[in-house]
Amino acid sequence: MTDDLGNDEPAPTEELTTLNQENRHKLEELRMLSGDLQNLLVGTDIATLFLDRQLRILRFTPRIGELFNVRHTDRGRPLGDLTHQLRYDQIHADAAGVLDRLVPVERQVQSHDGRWFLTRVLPYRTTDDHIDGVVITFVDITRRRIAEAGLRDSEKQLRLALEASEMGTWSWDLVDDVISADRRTLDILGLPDDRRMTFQLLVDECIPQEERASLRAAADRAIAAGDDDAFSVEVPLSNSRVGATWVLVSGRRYASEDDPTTLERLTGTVLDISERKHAEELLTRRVEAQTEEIRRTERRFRALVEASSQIVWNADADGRISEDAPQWRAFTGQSVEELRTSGWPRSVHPDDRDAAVTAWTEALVAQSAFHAEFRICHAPSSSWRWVAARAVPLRDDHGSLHGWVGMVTDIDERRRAENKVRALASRVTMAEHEERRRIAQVLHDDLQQRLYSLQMKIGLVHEQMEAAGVGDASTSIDEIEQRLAETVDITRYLAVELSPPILEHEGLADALEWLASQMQQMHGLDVEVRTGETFTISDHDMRVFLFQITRELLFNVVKHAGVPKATVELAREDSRLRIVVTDEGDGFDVTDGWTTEGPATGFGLTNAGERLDLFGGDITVASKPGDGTVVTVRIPLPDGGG
Amino acid sequence: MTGSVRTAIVEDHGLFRETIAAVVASMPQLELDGVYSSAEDAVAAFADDQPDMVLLDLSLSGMSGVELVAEVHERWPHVICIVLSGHRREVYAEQALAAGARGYILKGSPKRFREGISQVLEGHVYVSDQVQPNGDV
Repeated sequence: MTDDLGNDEPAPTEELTTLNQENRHKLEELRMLSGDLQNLLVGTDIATLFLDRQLRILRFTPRIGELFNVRHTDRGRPLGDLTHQLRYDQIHADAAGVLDRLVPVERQVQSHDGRWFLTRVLPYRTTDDHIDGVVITFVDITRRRIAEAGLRDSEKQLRLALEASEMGTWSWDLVDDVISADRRTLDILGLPDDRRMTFQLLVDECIPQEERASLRAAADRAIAAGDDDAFSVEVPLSNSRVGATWVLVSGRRYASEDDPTTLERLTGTVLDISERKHAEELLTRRVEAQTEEIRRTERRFRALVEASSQIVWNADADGRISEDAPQWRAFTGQSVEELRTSGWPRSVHPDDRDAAVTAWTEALVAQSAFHAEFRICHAPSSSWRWVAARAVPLRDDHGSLHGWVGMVTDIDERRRAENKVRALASRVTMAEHEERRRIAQVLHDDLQQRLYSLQMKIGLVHEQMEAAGVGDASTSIDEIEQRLAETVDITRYLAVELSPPILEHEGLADALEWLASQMQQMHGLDVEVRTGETFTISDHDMRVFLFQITRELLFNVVKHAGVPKATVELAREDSRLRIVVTDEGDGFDVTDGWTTEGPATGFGLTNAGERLDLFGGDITVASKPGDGTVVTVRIPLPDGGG
Repeated sequence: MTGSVRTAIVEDHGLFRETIAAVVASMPQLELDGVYSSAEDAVAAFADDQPDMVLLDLSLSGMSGVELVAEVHERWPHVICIVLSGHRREVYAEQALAAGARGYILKGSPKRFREGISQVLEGHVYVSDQVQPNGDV
């Protein structure tokens, strides 16, 4: 510029004018250029420092102010005079080095407030390639560094995740058909890592013959799938290999970045699932084995049911017959329809029907086992047969009811035999009693009369001898009379024991009163008899039985209670007679030594218990050690009493 | 009562019947009028001619002693009934007396027998001492 302006030679005015005009134009352009450059420097976000060859400040952009304590008046001051915010002590050395060697220097430096700057030191070249100083730029890369650090963390986490999950990664370049895989993938697949791997090679190497077609189909599906579709496929590996036997291959497709319509690669993971598959196979085999065992058990059960005379039936939770019961239909002649519509009670004997239905309803409500015995119609013989019906509720693992399974057993022969035994036992008991009565009768009607005769005749002889003055024989006669009286007493006692004659003529209450006096005379037991009304029990056997059982209970008091008092209460309870024998003696633990035969047996009333059963009665015992004993006998009164 | 008391015996046991007959025979104030083995036979005979006194067993087969007493007492109130019994329980004596008997004598002792008869003939009601409310049967 100095050259243009330094031309002092005289020139023709027109020429000068033209030259001046050109110079003015150039100056104007230069000014505009300088203004543009200034605007550019201000407008750019890059902090820039221009230094001359002596490393003195020439120019700087406004953002330099954030890093250096510099003002426009500082132009011409050496770089070393400026203080700054950077951890960049060798800035001066770098600038000098660049000026010396003309090789740019690039560094990442941090400011005191934690920001990072990419610092470039460049030689300042003039347009004629002359080095005229140094340019230093500072670009804020804090955000980039944070992003980079985040990316590194993500990568690290991904790596850790892959390692933790023992997952391998792979990528299949579809353009060149090259599969690249990490170390773990190769280990899982049992492959060496020094080979270029194509899909075909991989398939031939790792996949058993019979699985290859399906794997190719899976690959085709993955390639054909939409962009966002991930795929996942479990693949068995050739079992001759080391490494996994089963892998889970997952991944997704990626299109080319240049051309989103072109598929470039599939990328994903591979996981060794051999153990899981093995466990699954074991589980499957075990389930199959158990299922087979259940089937066998069921077949055996069915066979058993068919072979036995049992009728098996199933009902739902509400008690409706839920399955056909062919054996029931064969037995009763009912139809499937009748069975399904809860028509089973129609096969039950009218006398037993209400009790059977009630028992079943009660079991349904209580959800407890059902048991009832009743007669049902036996169609083949057109007769009634006794059956025992049982059912148990079926519950699931949570205890809720989901149905019933039941069984009906023909017990007709057993029932008849039982009835026969019962009748026989009754006859035996009656025969025994009859025999005792007969013997007692003989004792009373004949033997005692003979003894009375002897007593009277001896008495007459005794009188005659005394009248005749034959006094010597008197002592012997006295003794004979004494022995006769004893013999009479013994026969009388025997007769009473065998069959108390009082029961032949008097009511039960009177007989018990007499029994009470006997207990007092013979055993010193005070017995209070309480009777509310007169009971006329016409059944002689029952009268005798009640007398005997009361006597046995009073004997128990004498033997075990250790008290000289007891009460006998006779009362009516509905259509039954109730006899209660109470003492306030030692008592005992009713659960001790109790037998399965029932309280009567446990109470030493074996024979009485059986006979009580024959009369349809029952016995209950309430006792506690030290708290006395209450024994209650209940027996249905014939004809409702009276 | 003067003169011989015509006495009938009703007893179903043969040996005891003979024994009673012998004891009656040994008593001068009594005259044996008839011996019967059942109440039915006795009643049939009494229809024609009644004795002054009847000695009867309580435990007769068929018509019982108490029933016989009741029947005799109703049809022939002047005939004295005395029950002979082995039962020492008072209730039997009460039943017999309620039916119209004048005496209840326990079997066995001729002395007791004579005493009972004498008491009744003197107009008393006689029951043997050993008869008790809860005496054994």
